[in-house]
Amino acid sequence: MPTWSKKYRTLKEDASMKRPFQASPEYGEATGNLEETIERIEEIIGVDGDLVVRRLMIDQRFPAALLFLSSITDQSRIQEDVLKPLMLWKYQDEEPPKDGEDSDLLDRLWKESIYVSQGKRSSDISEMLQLLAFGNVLLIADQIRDGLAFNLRQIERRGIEQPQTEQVIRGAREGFIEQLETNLSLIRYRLQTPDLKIETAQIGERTKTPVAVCFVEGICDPEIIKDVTKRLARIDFDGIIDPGYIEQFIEDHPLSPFPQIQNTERPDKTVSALLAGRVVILTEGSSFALIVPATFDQFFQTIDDYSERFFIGTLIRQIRIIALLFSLFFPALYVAVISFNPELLPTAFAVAISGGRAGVPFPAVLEVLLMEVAMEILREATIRLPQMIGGALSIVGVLVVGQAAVSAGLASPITVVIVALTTIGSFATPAYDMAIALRMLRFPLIILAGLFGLFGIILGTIVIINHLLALESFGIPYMSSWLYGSREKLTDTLFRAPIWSMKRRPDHLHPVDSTRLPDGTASTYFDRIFSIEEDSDETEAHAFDVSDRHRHR
Amino acid sequence: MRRKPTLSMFQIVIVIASTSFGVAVLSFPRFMAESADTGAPLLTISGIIGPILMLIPLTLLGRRFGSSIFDYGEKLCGKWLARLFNSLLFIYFTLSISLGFRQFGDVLTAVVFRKTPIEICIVLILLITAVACRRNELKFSYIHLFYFPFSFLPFLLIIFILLPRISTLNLQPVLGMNAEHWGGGMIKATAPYLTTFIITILIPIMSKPSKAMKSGLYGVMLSCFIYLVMVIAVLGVYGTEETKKLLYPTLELSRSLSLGGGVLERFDVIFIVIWFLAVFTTQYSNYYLATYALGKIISVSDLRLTSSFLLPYLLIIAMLPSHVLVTRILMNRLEFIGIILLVGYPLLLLAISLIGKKGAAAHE
Repeated sequence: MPTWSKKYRTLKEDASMKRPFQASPEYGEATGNLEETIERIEEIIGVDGDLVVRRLMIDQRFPAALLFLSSITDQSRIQEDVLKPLMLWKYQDEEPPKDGEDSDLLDRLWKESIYVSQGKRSSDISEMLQLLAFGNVLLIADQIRDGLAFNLRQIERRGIEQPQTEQVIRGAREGFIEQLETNLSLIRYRLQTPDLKIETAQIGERTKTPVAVCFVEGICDPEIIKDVTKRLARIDFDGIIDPGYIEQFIEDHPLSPFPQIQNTERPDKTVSALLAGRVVILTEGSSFALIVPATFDQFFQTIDDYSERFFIGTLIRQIRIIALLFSLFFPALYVAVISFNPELLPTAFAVAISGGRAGVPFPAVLEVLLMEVAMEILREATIRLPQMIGGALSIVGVLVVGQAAVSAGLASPITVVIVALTTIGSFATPAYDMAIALRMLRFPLIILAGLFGLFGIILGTIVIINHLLALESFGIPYMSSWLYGSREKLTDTLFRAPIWSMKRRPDHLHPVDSTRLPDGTASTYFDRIFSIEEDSDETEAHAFDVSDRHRHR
Repeated sequence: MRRKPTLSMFQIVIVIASTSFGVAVLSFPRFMAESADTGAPLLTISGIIGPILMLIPLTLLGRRFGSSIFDYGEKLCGKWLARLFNSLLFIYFTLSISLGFRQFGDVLTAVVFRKTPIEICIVLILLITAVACRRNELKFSYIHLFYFPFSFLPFLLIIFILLPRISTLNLQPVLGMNAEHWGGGMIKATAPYLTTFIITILIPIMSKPSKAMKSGLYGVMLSCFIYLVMVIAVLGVYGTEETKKLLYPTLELSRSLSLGGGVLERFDVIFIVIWFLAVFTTQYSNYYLATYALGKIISVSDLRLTSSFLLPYLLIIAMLPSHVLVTRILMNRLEFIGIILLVGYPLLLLAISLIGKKGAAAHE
C-alpha cells in the first residue's frame, strides 16, 4: 500500500486538476544568468524587507549568490556552515563545470563543501520562492540554471510547559508547542517503535502549512487512514491557521453541536490515542493535535484516569459523569419541578423554596434563563481578562453578584445555587468543546422544561440522545461504548477496569492487532488477589500460560 | 472495503425486548384480570405463543432469503399479491401507531397535562418519532439499545420496592376462577408482542442470522418476564376486583410509592417519564415498520421521505376516535386483525416456501 503522503499527493493532484485553486501565479524557469535570476526574485519578494542577497565568488572564479530571508534563518549557521566552506573551497579540475552535467558545480559543492544536512535543487522560480519562504538558503551560481536550497530554518519558540487547558495531577508536565518538529519529537520519544509512521504534507494554498499525520501501522485500521487521507486531500483552502480549520473541513457532521474530533495539547494523551488505534494530525503553528476518530466518552476521560489505580479511576469517572448530568439537567429539572410538579419535593423544602421565590417578579423559567445567560456572559468575559482582574471576577465574584441580585429581589437564593452548581459541573468536563456543547444544550432544555415540565425535559433528552446515536466519526459510531458491542467497551465507560485486565483494545476502532496483554495475565492477577497469602508468592514465575501467548490480529 | 457493521445476538435480544415493552404496560394488568381473574399471570405467559408462531416463519424465511418479508413476499407469492399484503401490513402499522399515540395522549392529558389539548401531546411525540425514523436499520437498533436499560430497570426497581406489599393471597387460585374469557384474554396477552415483527427488518443486518430465532425468543421471553412481574405486583397489591376497576393500574401502583421516607413522594410523575421511554421505543418500532413498508410499496428507498410523508396522516387518524373508550374498542378490533395478519401471513409464506422446496426437490 503506498504511503500516506504519496496517496495524499496523488489525490491532491487529481483534485487540483479538476478545480484549479492556485493562489500564486507561475513564474517560470530560471535562466542561467545570475543577475537576472536575482533581479527577478528581488522583484517578486521585495528588496526592502528581510531578503538578503549575499554575493560571493566561489574559488575566485565562479560568481554566485546566497539568498535568504534573515528573519527565519539561522544567521550563525549561515556564516559557519555555508559561507565559510564556500569561501574556502577550491575547485580541483582544470575545466569549469558545465551546466547539466553529472557533477556540475552545485553537485560538487553539495558533496564536498557545504556543512548542511538537508538540501534541495530546483530550477523553477516559484519553487525557489517557496523554499525561500520556508526558511531555506538559496545558492544560485552563474551559468547554472538550478538553485540549491539548504534548510536552515530557525524560528523563536517558547519552552515546553504544561498546557493551560489540560492540567492533570499525575501525568507529564509537557505540552505541545507551535513547532511541528518539536511536537513530533515529543511523540517519538514516547513511542519508540519503527511502526510509528509520521507522514507530512502541506495544506492551505497560501499558508502551505506543514501537516503531519501519525499512526501506528500494526494497530491502526487501514480504512481509517484511507478515510483521513481522502478528507485531508479534499481541503482546498487559503490558509490553515489552526487545526480547528482542518477539523471543520474533515468532520462528519458539521451541523451537530457535539465535537467529532478530539483535540489535545498533551503528548501523553496523544500517544495513548495512537496506541488505541487512532490517527493523530499535527499542524505547524499550533500546539493542538487532532485525534481522529473520536467517540463520546473520550471527551470525558483524562490521563489521570489511567495513571491512578482503578478504584480511584472509576470513582473520579463517575463523579465526572454526575457533574456532566448536573450541568445539563439541573436548571431544567429545577424549573420543571417548581413550575409543574412541586408535589415531588418534601413539603418543608417546597415551602422554603417558595418562600425564597416570593418577591421575584419573573416566573421560574425566565429567572433561571436570565441567571444562566448572565453566567455565560461573565464566563466568556473572564476568559479574556488579564489575570489580575480576571481572578477577582471569578466564580466567587459571580456568586457575590448573585447574592446582591437576591437581596435586590431579582432572583431567589436557590436559583443562584443551582446556577453556580451547574457552572462548576460544566467545568468538570475535561474537553472544552464538549463542555460548550453541553452548556449550550442546557438552554433548550430549560425552555422545554418551562413549557412542558418533566415531560418536556424527557422530550429534549430523547432528541439529544437520538441525535448522539446517529453521529459517526470516520465510520465509527459516536456512542460505540454504550451499544453493548463487546465487554471491553463497557468496562471503559462508566468504570475503569483494572489495567491488568484490559486484554484487548476496544474493537470499535477495528484495530489490526488488538492484544494489549498476554492472555493469562488477568487471571494471574485475580489469582494473586484472591489466594491465601502463603501461596501467592509461588504463582509468580510459572503463572503465565506461555502456550496461549499470541497476538490477536 | 470495510466490513459492514452488524448486530450481535445480544443486541437483537435487547431490541426485541424493548420493542414489545410499550404502551400496553399501563392497562395490561386490567385486561389480564378481566379475562382470567387470578389466572392473570398464567395468561400473561400464554401470550407468548403468538409471537413464537410469528417468529418461527419470520426467522426461517429471513435466514433463507436474507431480506425482509416485504422483499421475499414478492418472490414467494407473486408481485401483486405481495403488494396487497404489504399494503395491509402498512395499514395495520399505521393504525397501530396512531391508536398507540392516541392512548398515550389520553394518559398524558388525564394525568400530567390536564389543561393541554391532546393534539399537542400527540404532535410532540409524533415529531420526535418521525425525526428518529430518518435513519437506517442499524441506527434504529442503537436507539433501542440505548434506551432499554433506562426503561427496563426503573420498572424492576419499582416492583422490587413494592415487593413487601404483595399479598400472595390475592394471587390464588393460580388457574383463575372463570376460564371462559381466556380466548379474548389471549388476544390481549399477545397484542404487545406484535411489534416483534421488526425482526424481519433486522435479520439482514445480523452477524449470525442462524441465531435469529433464538435471539427473538430470548427477547420475547425477557419482555414477557417484565409483564409477568408487573401483573403479579399489581394483582398482589390490589387484588383482582380492584384491578378491574382501575383504568391504569400500574400508574396507580406507582402513585402509592414513596422513596426515602418522604423525599420523593409522588412517584407517578417520574413513572410517566419512564413509561414514556418505553412507549417511545415501541412506537418508534411501529413507525419504522410503517415507513419501511411504505417505502417498499412505492419503491422509495429513502426513509426520510416516507417518514415525513406519513406524519400528517398519522395525526389525523390519531384524532379520529372521540373518546378513550372508543380508542379501546378500536384497539381491540385492530389487535385481533393484527394477530391474524402478522401471524398468518408469515405462516402462509412459510408454507408456500416449503411446498416450493419440496416441489423443486421432486422435479430434480
